Amino acid sequence: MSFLTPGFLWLFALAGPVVLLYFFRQKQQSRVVPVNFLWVQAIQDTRTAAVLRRFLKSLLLLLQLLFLALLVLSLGGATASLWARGSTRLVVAVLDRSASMGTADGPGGATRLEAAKEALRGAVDGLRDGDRMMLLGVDERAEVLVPFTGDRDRLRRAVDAAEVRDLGTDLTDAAVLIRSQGAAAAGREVEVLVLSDGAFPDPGGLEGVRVSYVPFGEAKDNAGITDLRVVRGATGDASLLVSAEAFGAAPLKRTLSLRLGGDGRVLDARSAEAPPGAQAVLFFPLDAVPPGPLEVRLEGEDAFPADDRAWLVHRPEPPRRYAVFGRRSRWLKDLSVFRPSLQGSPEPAADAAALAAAGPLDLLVCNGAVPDPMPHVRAAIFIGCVPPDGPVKAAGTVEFPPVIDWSRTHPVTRHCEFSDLLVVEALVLEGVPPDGVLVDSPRGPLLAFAETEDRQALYIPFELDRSNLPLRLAFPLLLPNALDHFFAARRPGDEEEVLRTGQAVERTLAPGESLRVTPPKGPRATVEAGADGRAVFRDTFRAGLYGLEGPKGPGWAAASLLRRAESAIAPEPRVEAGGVAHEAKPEAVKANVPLRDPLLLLATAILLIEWLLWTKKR
Amino acid sequence: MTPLLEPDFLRRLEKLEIAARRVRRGVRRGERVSRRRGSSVEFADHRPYGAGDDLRFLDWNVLVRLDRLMVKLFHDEEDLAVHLVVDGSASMEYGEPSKRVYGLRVAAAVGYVALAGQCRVRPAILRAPDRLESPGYLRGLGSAERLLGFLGGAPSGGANALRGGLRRLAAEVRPKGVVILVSDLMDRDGVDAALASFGRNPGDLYAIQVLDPFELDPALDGEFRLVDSEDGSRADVSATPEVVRAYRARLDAYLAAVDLSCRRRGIRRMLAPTSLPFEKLVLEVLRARGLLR
Repeated sequence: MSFLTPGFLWLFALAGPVVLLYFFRQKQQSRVVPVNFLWVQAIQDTRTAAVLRRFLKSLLLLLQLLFLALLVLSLGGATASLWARGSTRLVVAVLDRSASMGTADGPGGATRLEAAKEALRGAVDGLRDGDRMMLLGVDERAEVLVPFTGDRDRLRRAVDAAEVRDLGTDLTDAAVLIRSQGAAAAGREVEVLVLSDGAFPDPGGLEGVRVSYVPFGEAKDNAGITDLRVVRGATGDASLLVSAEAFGAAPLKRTLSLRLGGDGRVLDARSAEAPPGAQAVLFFPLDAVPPGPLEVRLEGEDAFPADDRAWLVHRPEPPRRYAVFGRRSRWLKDLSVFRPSLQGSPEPAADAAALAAAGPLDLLVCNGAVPDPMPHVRAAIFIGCVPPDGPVKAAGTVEFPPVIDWSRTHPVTRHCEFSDLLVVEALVLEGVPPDGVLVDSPRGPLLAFAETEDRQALYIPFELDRSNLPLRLAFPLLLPNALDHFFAARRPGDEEEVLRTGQAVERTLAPGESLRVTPPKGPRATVEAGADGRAVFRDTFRAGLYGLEGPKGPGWAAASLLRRAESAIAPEPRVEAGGVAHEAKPEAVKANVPLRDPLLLLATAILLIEWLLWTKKR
Repeated sequence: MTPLLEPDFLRRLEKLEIAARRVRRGVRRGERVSRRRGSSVEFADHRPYGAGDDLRFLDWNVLVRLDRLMVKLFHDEEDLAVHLVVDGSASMEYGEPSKRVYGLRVAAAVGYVALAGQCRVRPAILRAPDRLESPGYLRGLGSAERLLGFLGGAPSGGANALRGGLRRLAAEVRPKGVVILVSDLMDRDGVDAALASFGRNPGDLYAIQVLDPFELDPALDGEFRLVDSEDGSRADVSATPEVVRAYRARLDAYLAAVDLSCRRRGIRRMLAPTSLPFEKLVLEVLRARGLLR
């Protein structure tokens, strides 16, 4: 038996006064009477009853003490252990602290994590001497909060300190830990208590492990923001795409607002409506929105507020420079018509020196010739030529190569038609990665895309004048697709606009420089750039805006939950672990049964019995 | 000291007299007519003169008319002996007023009536084991002060004296008269043995049993150690309603036994709870029961 509020146990000291009062009350009064022989005879007449009375007197005292004991035990929160069987146990308590465990659907607005912690405290209290428990905090990773121990205080402190993280749920790491601990248990069976709402895939690796799934939460409707991204059109105009989804049986009918991240001022608001289980996708134009942190809010309240807000840092596309090297082509016009941020001239540079003198470039178009040396550029388009330092090499030429097929899913060839492409002569390309073949022919790719760590390149292995490509509809689509692919997607070194919680914040600094990070909640942190100049902050487990201070000045990063699995807050009735379905087993964690009410009831009954006996005695 | 009897009450007592059922032979002439022929003025009969007869009683008319010497015989007027016996044991010292005071007042009232009727009154206090405290016989109202003084100064205390005291009294009651016993008649061994002392006594016996209301209807509740006032014995009693009921049953049985013993010996027993007003007892109850008239 253990006690939830052992502070009340000092009331047992009242037993002393009760006994004293009893005997004090029992003290006889001495009284002189004329003669007492009639009384003696009367007592003898009632001798049998007197024996009963004496017994009742003692019984009344016992009942009083029993009543006091029951009352004190009840006030002390006595609980009975249900684990008092078998040998000592090894228990791994897996406490889900993912975002969905922050759903406030418990009694009095308690979150699922609070309910799980309460249950876990009971399990800790129910540990017997010799039992050992390990506590794992699990979100998308697993953290050993307390290794195997029988120290209940330490376990309780760790349970108390557990907090919800705006992350998903993945028990893969936990399974690895459990498996390793099971191996270390030297033949003793490890019991796994999973305290969760079940929103996680089968972690695997738990075959043969005794898993008890203790679910928390109720099936409630929810609506949340599940996707957030900045999309830029072919002309460089930026919009914010927001997906809001209705989970459960209720339709979505709320307002999405776009606010400034600093003061929360509303910039735009739109109605988001969707039937149950469907998404509402809304676009917020960002052209008129000032750069900086923004917040998207799904107005209104529900049981799971973590997915009602999302953040981003609006970063307008910076000006980019391009240049043309090699032969002049009448088909190569000013690229700024495709992407206004591109600045440069379609006139080819005279030579490599002139190209180098033009300064750093973001895009180089090589038409028939490659400068030597090849400047460091982020993106390049090679037309009828191949750079000597790239992964793709030219191995001769081929005349009139027929088109076999082309990729319809690659971003560069999206919406393009190449069935009627005619090429007089083309370079035979080698070294093209399989997923980089955009248009294929029997002798090699007629259009290829290759990406290395420092450069993206589009290969057109034939002269434009010796094909009908410029005359096809695909040509005006191919170039803007390529430019979008080059510059719309985030590249290493770019500062991100939208992050999911758990993704790292990366900044490029000089080696040795540091970046100070102020999370939405919690202490500041400082990260130093490594030898490669990258400063990485990984503890983005809280959704919100992260303040950054570095050598380049202040900045922002934004992390949002954006996880459908977490927004679907209905608890799972069963979970799969190691390929085995485990039904919900709430009683598995009920190591202790609270005895407060039964004890109070028993104490009341004792009081009633005592009263009846006392009345009979009188 | 508070006088036992108030003057006004004494005047009312002077109108009463002892109503003895049988006239007893006294040692002095009294106001009572005896069946024994004596020298009173009430003529009874004639008998022939004998040598030595008092010539004052010679009936001269008979001598003149019949020439016969005849002596007139008269009813003798005897004085009545009244024995006032008050129990002096410790059990009488109980209650408010105490049974002792109540009993002494009864004895004083009866004694005063007797003195007023020219009876010989012998007050006595029973003392353990078999002692009688008594100033001796008193006669006439002139002795009333002595009677009241004796009774008023009589202390109580000591063990039960009924058996020994009554035996002693029975032996001393010569000639027979009226015996008035004032006591609670509470004896651990019963009163039959004590009353047996009067078994063959031809006199008038009255027993006035004085009891406190507590004895008749004890209002006890709780745990008590009851100490006997006479022998100091102790009894631990849980005074539950059941025990109190048993006590009442025992008391009723005891009183019934006392009553039977009294009847068997021709003793008139009267129960006098101290809650009964004393004047009412004397002026109504004792008259109704034939002790006074």
